[in-house]
Amino acid sequence: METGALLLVPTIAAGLYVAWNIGANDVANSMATSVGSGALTLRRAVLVAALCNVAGAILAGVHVTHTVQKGIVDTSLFVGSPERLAYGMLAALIAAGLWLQLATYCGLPVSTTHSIVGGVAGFGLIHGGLGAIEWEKFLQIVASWLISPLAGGVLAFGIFIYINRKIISADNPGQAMRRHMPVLVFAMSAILCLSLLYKGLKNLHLSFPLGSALGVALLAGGLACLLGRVLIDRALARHLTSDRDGFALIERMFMYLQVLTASYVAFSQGANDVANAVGPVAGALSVVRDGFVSQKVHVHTWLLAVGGLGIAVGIATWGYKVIATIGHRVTDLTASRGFSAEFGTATTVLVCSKLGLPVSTTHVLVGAVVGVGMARGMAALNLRVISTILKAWLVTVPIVAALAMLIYRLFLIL
Amino acid sequence: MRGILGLFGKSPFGALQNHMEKVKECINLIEPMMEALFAEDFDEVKRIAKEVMKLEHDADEVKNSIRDHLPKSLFLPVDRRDLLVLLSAQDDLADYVEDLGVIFTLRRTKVPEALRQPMSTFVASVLRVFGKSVELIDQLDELLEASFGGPESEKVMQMIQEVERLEWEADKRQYKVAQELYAQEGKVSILDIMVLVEALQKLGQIANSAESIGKQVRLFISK
Repeated sequence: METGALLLVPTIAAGLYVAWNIGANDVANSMATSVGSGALTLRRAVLVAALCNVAGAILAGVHVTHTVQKGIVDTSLFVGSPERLAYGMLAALIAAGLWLQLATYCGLPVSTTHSIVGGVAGFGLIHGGLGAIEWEKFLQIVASWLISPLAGGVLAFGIFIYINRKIISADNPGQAMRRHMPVLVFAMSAILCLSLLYKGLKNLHLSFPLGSALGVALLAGGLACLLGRVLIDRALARHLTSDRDGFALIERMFMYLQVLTASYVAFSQGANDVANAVGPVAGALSVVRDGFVSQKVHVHTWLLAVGGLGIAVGIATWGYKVIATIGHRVTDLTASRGFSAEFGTATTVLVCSKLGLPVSTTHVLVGAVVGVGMARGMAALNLRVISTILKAWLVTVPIVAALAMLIYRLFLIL
Repeated sequence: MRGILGLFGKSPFGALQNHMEKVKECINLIEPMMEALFAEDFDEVKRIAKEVMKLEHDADEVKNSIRDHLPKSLFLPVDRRDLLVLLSAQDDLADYVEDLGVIFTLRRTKVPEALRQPMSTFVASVLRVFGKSVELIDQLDELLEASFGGPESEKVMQMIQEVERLEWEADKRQYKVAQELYAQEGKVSILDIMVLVEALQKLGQIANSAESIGKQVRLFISK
């Protein structure tokens, strides 16, 4: 397959381009809240984001990749002309990358996930008409875009109410923190561990059945909980005598949790978003390598790693600027609020990613922040942004689809 | 994707405190103005009245910028209208001090000897109401941190009750001064009495507005 081999380099390049875009823009939002509350310095935020993204991409990235790459477009239609699938995936990547770059330039809140879904749907339409699209799958994905911010919002609302009732509003915040903070640490560690173990580590050939994964997760959660308890006791002994105002101490404690959740967000983002960049590449590569469309495309760990690295490069080259800008602006967000929003976001994104639904981390985070606001936790939220986001939702998929159609047509002519 | 950047609106609570700072600068000039009036140093009264006008103008600018930054799309932890009413109450305070300055510069009003002591204590009690309402506004940060609930809100509730008690005391003092003032019938110029009646009313309104700040903060908590 001569044309296929020629496709290899541009396909990987386009995948990296999309990965770079994800790193440059998407990742910034989750880290910016930590920088804004003072929990992380800019340099550390960039480092943590890059490391956790790569880890997430490699360890937990595989499932979503299947969905975007295979779920939306019926690949069986390409059996007769496998190279067309490769061209199509390349077209989808280029269209998504271009739109992302343009949107970023215009300051539009556009989702990389939505773009890539639009792109894949676009060339699918050209190739096989309306029948080529797995509409059920497509609608499922669209529904998840609406449901995921809601889920993030509800979760963040609940977490913040819990923190507020049990810790911030307690008669003795120090003691309350001693009692309830370890619960949060436990929940967080257990969920992270569970999602890591239960489905995530297939790439390392470490697959746990649900039962044992649950056991290990609970154990790890318990350990983290004990460790948290010890650290809180030490902090209380050191600060409570000098610090009469409980809020400052509580917020300082939440900063540690926020760093953990920020890493958790970055991890789940890596797991979720790497699919956007790598999914189409995997599809194209399998065609190039095998010369036919296989039923199940194996996404190799090296490909996920390449996607993760692309994201990391995006963070390093451009993302830090975005983090700095946003972090500077969201200083009203205290650590307890930031923690609630990020915890809600990370959990939602991880669950969606495990269900095979590509969701936009930023949109979930927006939902989560609004959720905390509903619990009277935010000084001022500009809800006009939500309509901007809705507009961007409506516009992104058709535009990228049209763009992908155009590029695909061009490829076919050439 | 910078969508989230736009999500964070400008918090009006810090600006509300800035506005209260400006109002406080106005209020702080009441006592020097009264002293100048008692000393019948009318040039000094005029100078202070002018300074109040300038400060009131500054407060107005802060007020307008707060209003400009409170579009309906802004989602706040308190009712937007309650917040605007609170701002108006704060703004009234500065307006009343300005009015007081104008009243005293209309003519060379002489304050009868017998009235000076009760009037000073009345002014002091009005300033106490105001001082407590400033503390209330200073607590907005902590209230926000506690999401307007918990022990912090109870603490603020007690402060609000204290404001109400102080205002009631100021009312009683105002009644006494008024009695004393009307007792001057025939001894001093009727125009002096008229000007002083008006001044007493303005001072009473200052206490009332300070109290209504408490009422609005109460609505914040009970939302």
